[in-house]
Parts: sequence; structure tokens; C-alpha cells
Amino acid sequence: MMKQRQLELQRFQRDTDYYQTHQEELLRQYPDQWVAIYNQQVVGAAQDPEQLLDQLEEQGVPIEHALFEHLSTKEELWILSV
Amino acid sequence: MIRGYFSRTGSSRRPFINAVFYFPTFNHSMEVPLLVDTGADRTILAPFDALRLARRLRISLTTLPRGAPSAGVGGQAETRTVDAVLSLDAFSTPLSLTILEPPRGPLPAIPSLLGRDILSRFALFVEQRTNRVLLLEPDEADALRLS
Repeated sequence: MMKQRQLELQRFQRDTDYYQTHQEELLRQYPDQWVAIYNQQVVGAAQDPEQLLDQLEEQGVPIEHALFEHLSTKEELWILSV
Repeated sequence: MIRGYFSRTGSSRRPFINAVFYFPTFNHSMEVPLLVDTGADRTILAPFDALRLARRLRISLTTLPRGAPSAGVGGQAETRTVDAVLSLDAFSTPLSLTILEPPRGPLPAIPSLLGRDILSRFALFVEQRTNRVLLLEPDEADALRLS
């Protein structure tokens, strides 16, 4: 079980690396949208995150394993402690 | 040692560590990037990740037990809790995971947080200059002989 979770994390890390490498290009392509990345590919994008989840579920993309990012064109200040 | 990374958005670079949450009651797991937040008392699942979880498990979050209200800079929010096992690389621990209930209206684009309930088990090393976000085990931290 532990080994399987480590493999899941390694795959997810590759998706994270893909996002970091292509972040500027994705921001130009999908401004102010949510994007989903799975297996180092963009598998969906939408302005409404619920709509994106609908779209991915219809395509059979496992939403629990995909990476989601909101590509904001505005500089945002995060102060998040809760 | 657990390695994280800096995520770049515009001119901001923020420290993240990727995690897997396993939910034994539902026998499902979910990957989540967690913002390292030393100001957060607990590890928190943000509204968007909570929505993902609810959809995947086909449950309503309102069926989960209520947690303590969460207070932050943006105000107060209701929470729910769910039993989970958190894995960061080879480290794994059970926890009662706090979930921020999605608000009415647009979902905020905020990340889930890695709080002090987990960070307190490690020494945290964050250095933007060298792109290092590290969680050191106690023996690794002791070997640094910093004090």
C-alpha cells in the first residue's frame, strides 16, 4: 500500500513538474481558467471549476489523481493561515 | 528527508509539498499539492479539493462530522472532518483531516494547507535562493548542529 502511494506521488510530481515547466505558456493559452493536468498533458480547462470537473468525469479522467491549477492573470496576495 | 518545491505564479514563489490522502472508510486516495503554512494550526483541505473529494466519493460533505470553525484573515468558515492517512514520500500518518466547506457562490482558488499538526514532526528548511523546500527528520535536523 505504501509503495503504491509513493508511486502515485511520483506520477503526480511529474504532472507538477510539467505544470511548472509550461506555466507561462498555459497562462497565455488559458487565462483566468482552471486547468487539469494528468499524465503530463492538459486534459481540460474551464472558467468554472465545477464545469471542469463535469467535463473530466464525462471523459473518464480520474479527478482524484489529476493536478488542478487556476491560471490567474492578476497578481494575488495570499495570506491564508486558518 | 521530504522534498517539496516552489510553485511560481506571476512574481510569487510559494512553497509546496505534494501529498496523498487515503480515506480508509471509502478506500479511495487523492493527490493534493499542499502549501506549507506554518501559521495554520492544522492541515486543511481547501474548498476545491473538498469538492473533488465529495464528487469522487459520491458523498455530500454535510454527511461528514462537523469540525471546529476555522478563523483566518478572510474571516470564519465552517469545517467538516474525515479520517485519512496522509503520505508525504515515505512518511505516513493517520489524521482527522479538516475540510473547509465550499462557500456559496464562486469557489475560491486557494490551495490546501500543510499545517503545524504535521510540520511539528519535522524541521522545516525553506530557501527560495536555492529552490529548496525540505522537511528534515529529527535525526537529520540534529546532525546539522545549528544551535
